[in-house]
Amino acid sequence: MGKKTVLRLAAYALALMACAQGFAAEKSGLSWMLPEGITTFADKVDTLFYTLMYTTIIVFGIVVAVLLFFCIRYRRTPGAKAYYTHGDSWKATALTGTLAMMVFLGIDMNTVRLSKAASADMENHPDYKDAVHVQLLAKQFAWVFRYPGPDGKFGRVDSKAATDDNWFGVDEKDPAEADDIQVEGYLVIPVGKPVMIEIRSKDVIHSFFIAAIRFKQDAVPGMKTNIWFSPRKTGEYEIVCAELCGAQHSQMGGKMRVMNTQEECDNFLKKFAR
Amino acid sequence: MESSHHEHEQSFVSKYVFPLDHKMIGLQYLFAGIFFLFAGGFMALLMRWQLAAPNQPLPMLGRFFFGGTGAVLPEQYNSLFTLHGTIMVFFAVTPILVGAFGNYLIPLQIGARDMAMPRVNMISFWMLFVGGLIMLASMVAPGGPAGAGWTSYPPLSGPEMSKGHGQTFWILGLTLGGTSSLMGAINYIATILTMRTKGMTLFRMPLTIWGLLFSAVLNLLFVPVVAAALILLLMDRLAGTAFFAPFGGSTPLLFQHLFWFFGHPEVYILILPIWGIVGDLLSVFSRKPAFGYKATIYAMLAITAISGVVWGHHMYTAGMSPKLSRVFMTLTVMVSIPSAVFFLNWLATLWRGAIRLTSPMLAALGVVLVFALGGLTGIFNAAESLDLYLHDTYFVVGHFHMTLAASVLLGIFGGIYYWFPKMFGRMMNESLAKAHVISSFALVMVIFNLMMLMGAYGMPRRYADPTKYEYLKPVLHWNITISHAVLTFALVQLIFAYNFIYSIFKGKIAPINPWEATSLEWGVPSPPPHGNFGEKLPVVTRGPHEFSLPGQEADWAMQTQA
Repeated sequence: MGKKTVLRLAAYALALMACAQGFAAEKSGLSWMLPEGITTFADKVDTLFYTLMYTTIIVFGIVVAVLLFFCIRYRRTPGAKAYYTHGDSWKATALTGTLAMMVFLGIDMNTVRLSKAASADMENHPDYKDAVHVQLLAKQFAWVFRYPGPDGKFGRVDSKAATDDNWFGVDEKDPAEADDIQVEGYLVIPVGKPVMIEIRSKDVIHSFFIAAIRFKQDAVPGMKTNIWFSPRKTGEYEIVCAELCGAQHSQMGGKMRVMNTQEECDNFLKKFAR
Repeated sequence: MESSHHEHEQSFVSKYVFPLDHKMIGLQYLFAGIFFLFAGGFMALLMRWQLAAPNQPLPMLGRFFFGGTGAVLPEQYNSLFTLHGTIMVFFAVTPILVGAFGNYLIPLQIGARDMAMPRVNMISFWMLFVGGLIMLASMVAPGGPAGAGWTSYPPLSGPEMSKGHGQTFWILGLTLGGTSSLMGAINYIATILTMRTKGMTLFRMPLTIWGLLFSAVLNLLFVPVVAAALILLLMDRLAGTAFFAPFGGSTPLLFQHLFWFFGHPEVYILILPIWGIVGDLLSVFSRKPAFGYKATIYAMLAITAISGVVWGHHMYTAGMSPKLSRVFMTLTVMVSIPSAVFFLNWLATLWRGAIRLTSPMLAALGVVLVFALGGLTGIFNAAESLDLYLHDTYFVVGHFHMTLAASVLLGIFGGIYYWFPKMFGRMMNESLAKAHVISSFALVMVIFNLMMLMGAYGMPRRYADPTKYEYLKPVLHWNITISHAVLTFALVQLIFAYNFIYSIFKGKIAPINPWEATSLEWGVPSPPPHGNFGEKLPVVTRGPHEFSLPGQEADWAMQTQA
């Protein structure tokens, strides 16, 4: 197999990868591989996933084909001797290096590019004013959400002041606290509006994960982490814990309800108001 | 060293229990490693029972293991995967690869009579073995077993959240195991760099030795980091310090940084020797010099270097700045450049060879294939934004088992089938070996690919019982398929166990060089005598893979051939 053949094969492989990417952008066919996504970030992550998936299938296919071909074509036959080469000529080295760089540019840099596109989407924060605000406390083994209530303001919280009755460490003297609503296990938000969530943990590290929004964020005790996303479809989605947090880790579930309007959400939450 | 040249009347204790001979220590590592491999594998079986039949009592054995109704309780499940991970990484794979192959092969392949520090060698084995026993004991420790995962992040592993002594046992066991690796690493580096025989230049060493050398360098650099982290955690637990306390002025993330600063190089500690072994096996059984020998070595060196600066890709979801994540992502995907280099070299070694599909060769080809998949799926996890989705799902479990379980196990099997004749002076049954390798390969492909597909659907890892989640319904039935495959995999390993034990006692007597290979160990009797090389050390005249030399009748030339 000459150098030209190898280069031609490599070019075919790159062309196939380019097709894979086009195919992935269409997201047809193999979409059963991922559950439904409901954010623009999810779309971009899916594109990256399918691109890599098809690339993997193609590259692995090539490796299998080459390996099987060599094993059959060059199996030991009586009298035949192997070709004596150390493959250390500058030509061989340059060829290997070129192919490796093609893998780097064709697969890796493409991955970095697509990944950056997705994270740029996530880092394009909405205005604070335009968003719905929720505070989240992860504890063994529940997700506790706080909503600001009619005044749109949260009472002050300080994790260091948390107790067994006051998980968030809410400052009860703060007037803004009076109408805050605390709900266990339900994230209730309107559709089509960005939601900003402040994540804390009371005890160990948990991880807030909803498959439909395609990301998770750890809840680290002693730290406050902010996330946001904008659901574009109503419905009920499951919240799971993705970081080992103790015996009931797998049972630490919750629900995200994406409703049509803020009013529907308020009606739902009213039941929990004091 | 004078005395080690001559065979003495040795007592049983000094020959088999506290030996100084590297070959006997190597065999101790091998047997201990296989013991822990079966222990860790058994834990995997118990987990697979719970996942296939959640909360159903395990027939017959259940009550004995789990008490009560005989079903796996969630905390017992946690402790099973904690111990499975820790034991497999530190007490099964490390001892077999680094301990057994390293000890057995380094002096034999570089032409030395023993390791540089035989006594340190003996002590490192016993530290590892005792550490492993402490690790196993943590399952029945008073107050409850260790159950915070093989990563054991605080605060979950801290004094308040893990009150049982099991977690303390876990720390002690792992610290001993780590110290053993560290001592071993110093010994390997010293031996390889200072005790090569005449003519054995660095670039005449087999790739196996290069893999072991780089692996030892990583051990030397990074094990102290995890040892420090573990001791700080131990202080937090026992002495009331607050190194990782969330509300005491520190942060639990510190532990994650320290752990993964070591943890990522650790995966290369395990895989580098396999890459070396595969490079040698492909060359031997293609009857062709390893293609691009030096390029492969430089590629391994490059990966060794990069492995120290990519740990952050384990922490994308921990609250790291996206800017930092991007740096780690770019560094991580750079691993594929050197990987591609030695991968292409492996394939090119087959090209125009005279390929013999023996059991070690089949295992090596299996490593090439599963590592291709393991490596490619690594890019999914390296991509920061995609990893926010895939992190801590079965995708990660499938991926790292592909690289660290499937390819490492196949590499170990290949190594054992290849060097068994040298170690025990007898051949293993080749048909059984081939059946074992091929079926093991097929099963790991089923098991870990299905795991990755489940993970892609969002199935979180470390879940004792995922059945309550609606969105996972379309993929949960695969748990049953996987469990069946795992059970079959376990039964297939009995073929290996039978073949191994039977062949030690009853196998065909092995010739000196059954594979017609060229490195030094194949020029001494099987098994090699004390002191390895008789009166005079061999003098090396050529590289490690001189196969199919033109103008010569035999298709191989020993490294000592004039």
